[in-house]
Amino acid sequence: MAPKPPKSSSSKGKSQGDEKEDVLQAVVIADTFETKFAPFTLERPRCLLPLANAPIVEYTLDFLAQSGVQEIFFSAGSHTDQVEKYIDESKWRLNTSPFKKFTFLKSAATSVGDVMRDLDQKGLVNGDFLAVSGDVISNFTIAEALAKHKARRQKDKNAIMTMLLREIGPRQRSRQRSIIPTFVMDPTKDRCLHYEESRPGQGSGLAFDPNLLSQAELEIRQDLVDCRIDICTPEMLSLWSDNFDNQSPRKDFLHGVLKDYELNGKTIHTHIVSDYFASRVGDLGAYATLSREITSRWTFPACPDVDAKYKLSRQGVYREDGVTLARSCRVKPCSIIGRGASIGDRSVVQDSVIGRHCQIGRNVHIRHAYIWDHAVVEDDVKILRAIIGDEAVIGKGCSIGEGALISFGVRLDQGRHIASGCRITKARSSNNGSTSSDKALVGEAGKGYCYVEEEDDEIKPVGLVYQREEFAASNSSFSSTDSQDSEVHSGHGGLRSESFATTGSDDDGTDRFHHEAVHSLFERMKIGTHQDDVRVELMGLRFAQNATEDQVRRSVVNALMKYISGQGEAENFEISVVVKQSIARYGNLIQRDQSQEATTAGVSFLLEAQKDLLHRKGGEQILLHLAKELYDQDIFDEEVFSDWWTDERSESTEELRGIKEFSRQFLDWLAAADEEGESASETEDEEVDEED
Amino acid sequence: MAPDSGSRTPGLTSFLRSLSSEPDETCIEQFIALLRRRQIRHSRPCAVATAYLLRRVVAQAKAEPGKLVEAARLLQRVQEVGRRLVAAQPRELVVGNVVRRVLGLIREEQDNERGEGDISGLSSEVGIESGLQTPQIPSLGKGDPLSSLNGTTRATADMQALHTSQSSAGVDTRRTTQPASRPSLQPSHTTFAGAPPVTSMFSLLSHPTMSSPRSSPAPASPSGTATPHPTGSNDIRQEVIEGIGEIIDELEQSDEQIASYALEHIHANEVILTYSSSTTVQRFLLKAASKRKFTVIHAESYPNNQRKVHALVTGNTNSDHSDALTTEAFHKTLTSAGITVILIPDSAIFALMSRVNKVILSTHAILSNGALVATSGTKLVAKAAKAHHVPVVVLSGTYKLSPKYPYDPDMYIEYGDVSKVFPYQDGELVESVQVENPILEFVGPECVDMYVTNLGGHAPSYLYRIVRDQYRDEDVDI
Amino acid sequence: MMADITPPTSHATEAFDIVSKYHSLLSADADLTPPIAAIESLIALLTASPVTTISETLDLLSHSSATLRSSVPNWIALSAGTDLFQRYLVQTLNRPGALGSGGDFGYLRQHLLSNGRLFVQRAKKARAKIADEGRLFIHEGSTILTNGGSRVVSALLLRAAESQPSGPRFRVIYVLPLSSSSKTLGKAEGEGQPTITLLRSHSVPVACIPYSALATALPLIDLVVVGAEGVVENGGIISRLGTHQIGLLARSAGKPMYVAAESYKFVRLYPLGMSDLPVRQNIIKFEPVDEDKEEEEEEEVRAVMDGKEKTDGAENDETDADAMAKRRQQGKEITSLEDAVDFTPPNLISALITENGVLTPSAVSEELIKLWF
Repeated sequence: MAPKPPKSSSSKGKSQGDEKEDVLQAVVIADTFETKFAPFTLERPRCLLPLANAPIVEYTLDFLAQSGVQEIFFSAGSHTDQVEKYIDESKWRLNTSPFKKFTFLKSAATSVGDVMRDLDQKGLVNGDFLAVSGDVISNFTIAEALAKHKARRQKDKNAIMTMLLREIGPRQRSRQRSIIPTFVMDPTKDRCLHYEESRPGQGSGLAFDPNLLSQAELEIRQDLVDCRIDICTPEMLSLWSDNFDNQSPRKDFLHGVLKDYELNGKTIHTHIVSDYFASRVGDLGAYATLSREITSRWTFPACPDVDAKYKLSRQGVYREDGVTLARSCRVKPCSIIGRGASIGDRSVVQDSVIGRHCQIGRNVHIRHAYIWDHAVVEDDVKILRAIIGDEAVIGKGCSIGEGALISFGVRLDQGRHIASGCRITKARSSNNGSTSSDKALVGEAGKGYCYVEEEDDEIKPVGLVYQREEFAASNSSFSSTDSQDSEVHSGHGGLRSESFATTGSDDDGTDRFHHEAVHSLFERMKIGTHQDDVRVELMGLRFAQNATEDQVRRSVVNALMKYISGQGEAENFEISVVVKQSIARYGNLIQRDQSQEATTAGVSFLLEAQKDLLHRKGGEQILLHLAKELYDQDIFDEEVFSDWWTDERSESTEELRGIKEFSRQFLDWLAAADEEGESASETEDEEVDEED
Repeated sequence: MAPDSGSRTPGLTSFLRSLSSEPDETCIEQFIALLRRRQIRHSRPCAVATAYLLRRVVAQAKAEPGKLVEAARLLQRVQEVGRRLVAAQPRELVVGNVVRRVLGLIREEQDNERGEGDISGLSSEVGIESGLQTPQIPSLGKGDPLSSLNGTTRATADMQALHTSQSSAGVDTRRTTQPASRPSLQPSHTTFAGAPPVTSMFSLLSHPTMSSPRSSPAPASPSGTATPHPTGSNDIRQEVIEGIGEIIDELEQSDEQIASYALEHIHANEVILTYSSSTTVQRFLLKAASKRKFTVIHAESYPNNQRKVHALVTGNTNSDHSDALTTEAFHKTLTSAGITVILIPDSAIFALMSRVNKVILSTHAILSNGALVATSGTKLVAKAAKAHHVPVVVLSGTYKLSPKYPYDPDMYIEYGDVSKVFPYQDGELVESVQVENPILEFVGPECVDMYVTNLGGHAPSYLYRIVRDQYRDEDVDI
Repeated sequence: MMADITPPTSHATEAFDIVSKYHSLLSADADLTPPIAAIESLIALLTASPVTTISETLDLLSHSSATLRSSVPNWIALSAGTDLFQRYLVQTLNRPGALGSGGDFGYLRQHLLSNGRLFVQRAKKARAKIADEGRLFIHEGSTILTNGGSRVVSALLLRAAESQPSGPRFRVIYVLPLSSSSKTLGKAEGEGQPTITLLRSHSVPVACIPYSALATALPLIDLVVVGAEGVVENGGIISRLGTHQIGLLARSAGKPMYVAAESYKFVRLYPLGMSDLPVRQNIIKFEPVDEDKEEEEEEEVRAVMDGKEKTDGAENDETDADAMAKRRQQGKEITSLEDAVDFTPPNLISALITENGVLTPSAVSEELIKLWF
C-alpha cells in the first residue's frame, strides 16, 4: 500500500495540470441525519464521538489529507457549534495544516440532499470533488480511482460520479447490517446500472428496467459495503438541485438518477476496493467492529500508534504514556488504554478501549466495552459489550448488560444492574422533556433516565451487540419472502405479503412505489403490453418495494383511469368503448384474487376509482361505464356494487356523492335487472348511450 | 502548493517540491504528517527528506537584527525541530541520525567561532568527510601529535577534534586491515592514531574549566554572547548548509561507494543469497556482476515485499522503488547483467542455505551495538546462515547507523497492515483470530559477521567507532 | 567489601599512614567505592606531605599506591583509582596550560587538594547517571536477575522502582552469594539485603535464590544486570565470585547480560582467564583428607594475621611490563569466599552501562588506551 509512484503521479500532474483540477476539494457531510447513535448524539455530534480514543472525524480528515485533498467544505449539521469549536482548535486549522481552505457550510440542512443543493447554489466547488460522510475510515489511496474517474470524464461528460465500494466476505456479510444495498452493474464499464436498498428480513426483490438484461454482462452484488466515498462532478450537484425532493444520497438520489437514465443519460460508476480498507461508522455495530479492526491494524496506517502517542506492546495492547496499571491487573490483547487512565488491582480488561483519564477500580471486568474519557468505574463492576460515555460514573458492584449505552455524565448508584440493550442518558431528548432521573433505574444517588427511541422510519438501529435470535428471525422472513417471489407469478401471496410489508412500511418508500407503479403501468397500457406481463412486472415492483395490497390497487386504479381518460381524449372514442376495451384488456389486473375478501377488495377498488375520477374530465361517465363493464365482464358481482353504493365512505364528500349519483341509474338498473331480463338491460344501455 | 495536483497522493516528491515554496514551519508539519501516515517511509527517503528539510530550516533561521545567526541559536532551533521529527516517527531512526549529523556540523562551526584554528577546522572536515570519503587527510594530519599540539589554547572542542580524528584514523586502518571480531586487536590499530590522550575517564578528576564534552551537555552551553563573533563576516549558516549539502551527496553516493567494495566480497561462481528487495544490494550485485559470474538466490520476503522482489527479478520495475529516488538505475536487472537468479519462497531459505556461500542482506537501520532493525524475516535468514556457517554480510550506508542502543528491541518493530497476511474480504478470522504483520524485525549483532558501509567493511563490535566519528556524543539523545 | 579486614588503627606511624586512611574512608562512607577511597587517600597524602616538585610527587604517589595495593587482598579495584589519579597528574602536567589561566603544578595541586570532596560527588553523580541509563533496560513485565552487593546495580534497580506506579512493572531475582546454611550467613545477607528491602518497600517483588538455583531461575528472567569491581582492558569484568557462572548460564540461555560500572573502575589489566588475575585466592583447595571445620577456621585467621604483617614495600614500577609480573605476587591471599572474585570474559557481556553511555566491551579498551597512550 505504498503511495503512488512519484514518477507516474508527477506525469499525471503535468498532463492534467492545465485543467483546473490542481486543487482537490472535498465535501464532508458529518451529520448523516440519522439517530443510530442515540442517545449519545443528543449531546454530541456523531463525528466527535471517540473511536479508539480519537474523534471519528479525525480519521476522515486524515484520510482526506492522505489523499491530497486541499480544500474542505464541512457540513456539520446538528451541533455545528461543537464541531466548529473542535475543528478550530484542532491542527487542521493551523496554517501548517494540509488543508489550504476549511469552510463550514452553514445551512439549515435536514438531509444530505439539502447540503448538496446548498453547495450547488453557493457554487463553491470547481472541478471534481470528493463527497464523503463524516465517519469514513480508510487507508485507500484515492489517486487510482481519481485517475480512472478523470479518464472516464474525458471520454464521456455524463459520467458524473464514481462510488467507492468495498468487497466484504460472507462472514461480514452475514453480520447484522441495518441496510443491505444491492448494486446492479456492468462490470465491463464499472458502471452502476441500478441500485436498491433493503433491510434485513425484508423482500430482496429487484425491479429494474428489463432491457438492462440486454447487457452482455451484468453483476448483481450484495457483498459490497458502501463506504460513502464518492468522486463527484459539479454536474452531479446540479442534478441534486433538479430533483429537489431527494433526501438521501443513495436511496433517493442514486436510485433516481439510475432509474431515469433514459431521461438524463447520466452514468454513475463504481470503483470496487478489495485490497484497501474502507468503512464507515454507520451504526453501533460498525462502531464495535471498527474498534476491533483498528486495534488489530486492519486500518493501518490509521492505528493508534502511528503518531507515536501510543506504544504497542508485544501483547497487542496499546498504551499511552502515563497509564497507571496496578500490578495484579491484567490487560488482554486488542485493548487501548488512554493517557492518565488507571486500572486497579485484579481488574481484567479485554478487547476494550479505555479512554483518557478513566479510573477503573479494583476487580473490574471489562470485555468488548468502550469506555470514553474521564469515565469512572468503581470496584467490582462488570461491563460487557457496552459503551460508557464521558464522565459517566458506574457505581460499585454494578453490572452492565450487553449492548447497554450509558451516555455522558450518567451516574449509576451502587449495585445497579442495567439490562442489556438499555440506553441511559441525562440529556433532555425531544420526545420526553423530563430530565428527572429514573431512580428505579439508576438508584438513589444516580443521575439519568432510560432513553426511548422515537418511532422513526428505522426498523431498529443495529445495536452494539449482534443479536443472533433476531438475525435468525430475519433469516426466516428472508426465506418466506423468497417463497413470495416464487409464487408471485401465480398471482397469490399478495395478502400474505401484507403481513410483513407493514413492518417495514415507510411512507416515502410507498409513494415512490405508487409513482413508479402508475408510471410503468400506464406506459405498458399505452404500448398495449399483454396484461399478464404487466402483472408480472407489477408484482416484481411490488415485492421490491413490498408495497401493500391497497397500494397496488390504488396504483392500478390510477393507472387504469389515467389510461382510459387519456384514451378518451386522444382519439375521441366513445367512453363506453374505451372502457370496454381497457377493462377487457386489463381486467385481470383489477380482479387479482379470488379469495373471500374479493368483495371488500372490489369495494375499495371502486372507492379508489371514484376518488381518482373526481379530478378527471368526464369522470362520472367513466365511473358509470367502469361499473357497468366490471359487472358485464363479471369481474365484480352485484354485492360489490351494492356494498359500494351503501358504503358511507363513497359519499363522505360532496364531490364524491356527486360523481356517485351519476351511476345511480346503473345501480337501479342492476336492481331491476334482477327481475327483468336481458331486454331491460339493453334499453338501459341505449339510454345511457343517448345521454353522452 | 499549486503543483500538488489532485491526482497525486502526497509523498516524497510532492514534499520536496513544496519545500521550495512553503515556509519552513509548514514544511516541518507536512513532513511530520507524511511520516505519521507512512507516506514517506524507508530509510533513504526519510534521510533525504530530513536533510533537505533541515537545510531549509537552517537557511531560514532567524538572527537578531544586525547580528549574524549564532551557532547556539541555530543549535537550539535544529534540536527543537529534530525532536519533533523524531517524536513523529521514532522507528525511522535515520531521521534522528541526519539531525544528529547536522547538529554535529553546527557544533563544529561553533568551535570555529571560538577561534579554534586549523585543528577543529580539520576535525570538522573529518566530521563530515569521515562519512563521505576515505579519511586519509585527517589521519595524516594527526600523524604526529605535536603538529596538532602546538601551543593552541585547549578546550573541549580541541579534544573532540583530536578524538574524532583519532578514531577516524582507526576507521581508516579498519578499511585496510580485515576487521577481526576479537577486541585483542584493538591496540594494534588504535595506536596508529597516536593522538594525545584525552579520555572521558578523567571526567572524574578534571578541573571544572576543562570539563570534557561528555560531562557537560553542550560545550560552553548556549548564549553565544561569551563567544567572540567570527572576525570574518561569514555567516555560520553558509558552512552548515554546505555541510548538509555534503550529507545529501553522501546519501546519494553511498550506494555506489558500497558497491565499490563488491569485488572484495563476491567471488567467481559463488552462490549468494539475498532477501527482500534493496537497491543497495541490487547495485552491489550488479557491480560484482560486471567482473564475475555468480548465482543469486533471491528470497521473496512475503508478505510485505514480494511484489517488489518479483519486479526486481523480472525487471519490470514499474512499481515504485521505495528505497530510491531515481528509478532509472535499476531497470537493469540481475539477469540482464548475466547473473543466474533463483527466486525462492521464504520457506525454502533454510533448505537452500547449505548451497550458499554468502548471505548479503540490506537493513532498515543499524544500532550502535551492531544490531539490525531489518525487514521481518531477516533473522530467519541470518539464523539459517549461522546454522550452516555461512557468512552474513550486511550492506548499509553509514547514514543508517544510529547511535541509539537497543534498550527495548520491541520499540523498533513496526506492525504493519494485517490485510497483507490475508485479504480482508475473506475475513472469516477477523474476530476469531488476531493477525499480525510485523514489518520490521530486530536482529542481534551476533547474527552478523560483517558490515559493509560506504567506509568499508567492519565487524559488528567496531561500529561504535563509526558512531563516534559520525555523531557528537552530546547529540546522542537529541 | 573490604570491610572485613579491620583497619589497623596505628596512627602513630612516622609519616602519613595511607593504608589506615584508606580503610577509615571506606568504613566512614558506605557508598564509597575502593577506587574513590584510594584517590581520596592519595589526595590526603598529598595534603599531608610537603613535597613540591613534580618528580617527588609522582614518586610518592606511585610508592604509596603500591603500599596501598599490597595492604589488601584484592587490589584490583583500588588500583583503578590510584592509576587513574597518577595518569591524570602526568597527563595534565604534560600539557602546559591545560588548566587555562595558572597552569603550573602548584595550580594543579591546588585544584586537586581543594576539590577532594568534589570528586566523591562526581563519583556519586556518575552512579546516578548510570542508574538513569540503565533504567531504560527495564521494561514492562521484565524479570531482572542480579547478584552481589554492587551499589550501582542497586541504584539502578531502585531508580526503576521509584518510577512506579506509572513506570514499568518488573521483578527481581537476587542471587545471594551464599546459601543461608553458610557459616558467614549474616554478611552474605548483609550484602544484598538493603537493596532487597528497599525494592520490596517499592512493591517490587524480589526473589532470593542461591547460586545452586540459577539454572532453575534462568527461564524466567529477561536480562542479567551485575556490578563489577573492575573492568579490564578487553572489556571483561572482575566481580563477585559466581558472576562468571551467571554469565555462562545467561549466554547458554540466550539472555543478555549487562554490567553496570563507573568508568573509573576501568583497570589496566589484560587477563585471559582466572589464572591471570593478580589475586591469590585458594577457592579450590585440594586436600588429602577432609579436615574438620575449626582447623580450617583458625588457619584462615592465621592467614589474615600474617597477611597484615608482611607489607613488602614494592619498589615502584617504571615499566608496566614487569609491574604486572610483580603484582602477581603482591597482595595477600583472599581467604573468605565472599571476598573471592572471578573473571567474566567479554564475550559473555552484552554491554557495559557506564556514565558515558552504553559501551560495547571493546569500547572499554579504547578508553583505557586513551588513558595510557
